[in-house]
Amino acid sequence: MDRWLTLWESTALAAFTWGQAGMMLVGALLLYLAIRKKFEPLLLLPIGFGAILANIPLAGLNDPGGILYYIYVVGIDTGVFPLLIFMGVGAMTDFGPLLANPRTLLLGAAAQFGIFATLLGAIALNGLPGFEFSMQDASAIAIIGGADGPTAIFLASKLSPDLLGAIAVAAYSYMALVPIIQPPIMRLLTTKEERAVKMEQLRPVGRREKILFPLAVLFLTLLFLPTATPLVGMFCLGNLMRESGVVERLSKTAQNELINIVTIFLGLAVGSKLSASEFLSLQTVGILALGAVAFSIGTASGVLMAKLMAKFSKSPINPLIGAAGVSAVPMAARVVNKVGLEANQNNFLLMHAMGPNVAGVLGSAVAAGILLALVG
Amino acid sequence: MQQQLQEALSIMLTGMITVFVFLTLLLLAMGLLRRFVGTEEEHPASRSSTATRTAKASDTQRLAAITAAIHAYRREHE
Repeated sequence: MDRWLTLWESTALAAFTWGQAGMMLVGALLLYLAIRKKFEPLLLLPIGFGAILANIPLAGLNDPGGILYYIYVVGIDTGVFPLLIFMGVGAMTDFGPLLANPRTLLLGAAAQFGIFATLLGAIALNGLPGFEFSMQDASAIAIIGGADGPTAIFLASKLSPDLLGAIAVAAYSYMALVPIIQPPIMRLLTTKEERAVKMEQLRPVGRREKILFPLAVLFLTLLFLPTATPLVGMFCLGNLMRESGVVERLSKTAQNELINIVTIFLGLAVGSKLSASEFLSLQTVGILALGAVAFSIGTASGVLMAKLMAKFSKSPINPLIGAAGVSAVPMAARVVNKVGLEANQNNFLLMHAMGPNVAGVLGSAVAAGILLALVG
Repeated sequence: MQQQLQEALSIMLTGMITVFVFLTLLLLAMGLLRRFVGTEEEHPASRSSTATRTAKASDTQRLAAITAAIHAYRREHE
């Protein structure tokens, strides 16, 4: 009889807690969203599976000695994985549309208001019972508004590792929801005539300009905002590899093999942070709500800034392109193109929206650097 | 709570101003970049014309060498 008891106690059935079972369901939900709904599948699939693995009782995948524990310590605790991903994103980014129309940088700046307004919102939530966000927590939550996965994970791992799981899940879920969240806000803030505005064709940008641009960005960052240099530096390295044209092999690796490998581990590591004690709480509900607010405010401020610029500009500006300032490359730019086409069937805004879109990536990296400098 | 809110508000103001100032600086840097390196490349024709010019130059040199050789040959075999 004793033997049977020992055997029973070694099964998961006996050791399951409600929390673990709940988190496995959350993991299954993420898998469903990734596979069936195609929500950012490249990340949500490994995150969902990681959440299931991390909550297996008695297996200890998440304790010292377990693989998920080590992946987390090596890749996210150190900040290495999000930075490697950022290098790959840099190698994929074409700054041509931004260089052709530099003013769109200001749209990328305006959309970062979503981040800072959410910071205020997170602190205001502390007024409700059950919420206790520190300034670090609030900053890490606010960066969801940057609509940039690696930036959010990087900042959360530095400022508030306990909330990292919820923040990463919120960031990637809302990025997948950009085509649903953004259009109503864009339509609300613009008239049909404004949405139909055609913009002038972009000038061609020379190779030398494209090579010197990442160096200029890095130079300004290291002078004024050293805390942003990990993110901006890796991004510029990737971009220089792409534009220099002499290390095509490295550039290809950074934007394909390397980023894919790191994505697998990053997803698993984020999933490992989805434990019941940290995820199944009121705070997670607050984080999900704040994330949606951050996206909406970022979109709105981008569109309003574009309207303001259109008033003072000689060449026509379609205010829709401001919405792409939230980054979420290239989804947000595609949404702008789609909403533009609804108003005017011959109006292709995709390239015009790519400018503010990549400006948004720089803007959120800069905002992350500022938050690190102020509250880190 | 009140104090935290004030702190968050001041971070918001500082942050937004810094983002704008930084990206405006970048905007100026891009203007300079365009002025100094952007225009040079808009005339790819000039580069090809220098290429043909050097080709022409080497042609005339080769022609001169050939005529000189012919002259020398004829002088020797007169």
